[in-house]
Amino acid sequence: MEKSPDNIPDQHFINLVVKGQDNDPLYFEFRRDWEIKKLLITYCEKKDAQYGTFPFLINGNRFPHIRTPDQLGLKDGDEIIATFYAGGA
Amino acid sequence: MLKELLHQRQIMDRVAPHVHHPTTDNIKTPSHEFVSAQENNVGAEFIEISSNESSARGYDKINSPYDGSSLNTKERQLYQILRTLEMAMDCEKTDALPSKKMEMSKGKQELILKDSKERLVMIQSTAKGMHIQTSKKKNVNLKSTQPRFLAGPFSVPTPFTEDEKKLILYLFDDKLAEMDVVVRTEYSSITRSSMRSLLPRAWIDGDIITMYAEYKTIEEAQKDITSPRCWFLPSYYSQVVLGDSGDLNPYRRASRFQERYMPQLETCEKIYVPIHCEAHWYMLVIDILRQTADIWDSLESLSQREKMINQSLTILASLDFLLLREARLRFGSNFNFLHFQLGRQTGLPQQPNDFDCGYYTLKYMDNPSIVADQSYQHDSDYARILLALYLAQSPLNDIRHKLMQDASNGYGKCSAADSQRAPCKQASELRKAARNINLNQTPSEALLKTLL
Repeated sequence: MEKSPDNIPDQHFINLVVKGQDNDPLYFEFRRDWEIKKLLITYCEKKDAQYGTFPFLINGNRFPHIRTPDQLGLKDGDEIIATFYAGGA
Repeated sequence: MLKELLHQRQIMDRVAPHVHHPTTDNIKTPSHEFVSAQENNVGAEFIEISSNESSARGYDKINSPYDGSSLNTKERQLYQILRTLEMAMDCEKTDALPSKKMEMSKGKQELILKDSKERLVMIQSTAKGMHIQTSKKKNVNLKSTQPRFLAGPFSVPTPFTEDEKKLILYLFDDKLAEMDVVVRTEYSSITRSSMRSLLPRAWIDGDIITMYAEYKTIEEAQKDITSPRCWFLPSYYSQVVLGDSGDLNPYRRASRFQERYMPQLETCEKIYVPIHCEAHWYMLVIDILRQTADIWDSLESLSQREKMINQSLTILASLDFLLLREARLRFGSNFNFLHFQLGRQTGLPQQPNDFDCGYYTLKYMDNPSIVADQSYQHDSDYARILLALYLAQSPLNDIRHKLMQDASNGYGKCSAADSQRAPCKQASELRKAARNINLNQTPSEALLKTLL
């Protein structure tokens, strides 16, 4: 979770929530011009999982993790869904 | 022929105890259950080389990324020895080995051949030297006797072109980064780790099904606007709707799929929803005009039936939540997705194995699907490789040009590895040389000398 230092104005940050299947959403304050991958890796670390374990969805779609929240068109309070890789016999 | 080999074995046994054996240090003692393991087809790491393939070719595959780069020098030397032995066997009685099969396992350091009496011959390397064993059982059935060709990790009934082989190697190479995106459209992507779920006997990933649905959705959008429409929902739709999200209303999340995958209810006739249930994929096909919802399942089981029905009802309820107002304008005020007649599609081809449900599920989206084709013969490897090539080479894949370029740049040696087998004359020379092993040398050194 990124804390905003005093010298950076608030419009550089965005509030995002990552919801998994475990009924325990995590809330993030994140730089708008940073790669979203950083946030997703942090989420995976908090969930004791390896990055790459969860497929992440924004508005039901997969997205390139090297984009920033601004490039992805995310708005304040948007949610990212973490589902699971489902294999099947 | 066997005498010949046993002769060699005696030589080696005589030498090995006295001399430090360079090739087989650090190698585990192989298991002796090789016959039963083969019969049950246990061990996914086997590489099969069939009768019509050149035997030498399999070992040239050492250069391919699936065996070669992970081998250290000692293992490489071992392969060279095995290869010499194999060639010696092969050219001795080529006619007597019509159904010779050979399997090579990296981990076990052993080579399995079939001799003229349909018995298995195993050549093992242990810490003491080489062991050659013959199985007691006769007529051990390894796999089908149809000619097969190798394309990367797959064995297929028809050969592929060099470009396609390179692409396959590139798509499935486990040395390259797992998170590399290999197929991308505007809304979805497949990483290499998901693509690797198309490897033989692996469980197919939801991303593959989602991408197939995505392709179908794009093709559907390109069709004539007056034609009947189908919606192909991604696999994540059911995962999100059925998942325990902790929301007060779990269906609200499903609305995120609406814009992309559910356009124009007025012309929609069928909705295809792939659903994941207890490590199994099945398809729910909702026919709006007939007001039915059918479960299409390629592996019917009674134990999961109740859960599937519950899941299907939840999916219908989510559609009610999303679409009811719009649907009632079109179909009248009594319309309700939950009132659809829930059924089970009968007469579907059933999957012949326990790992292809994902493939069958995504093929149910085809029209006409494999359901109508009763003569459909399922060939898992071939079906999977065709699917992988379809996904990668389709014009809908935004990064296909880059992909092809990377593949042909990275695998220039592919053609060299697939070169023709050494001619028989050369092999017999090798065999002669292998027989005249100088007893002062260790067997591996002697064999290597003749080889190099």
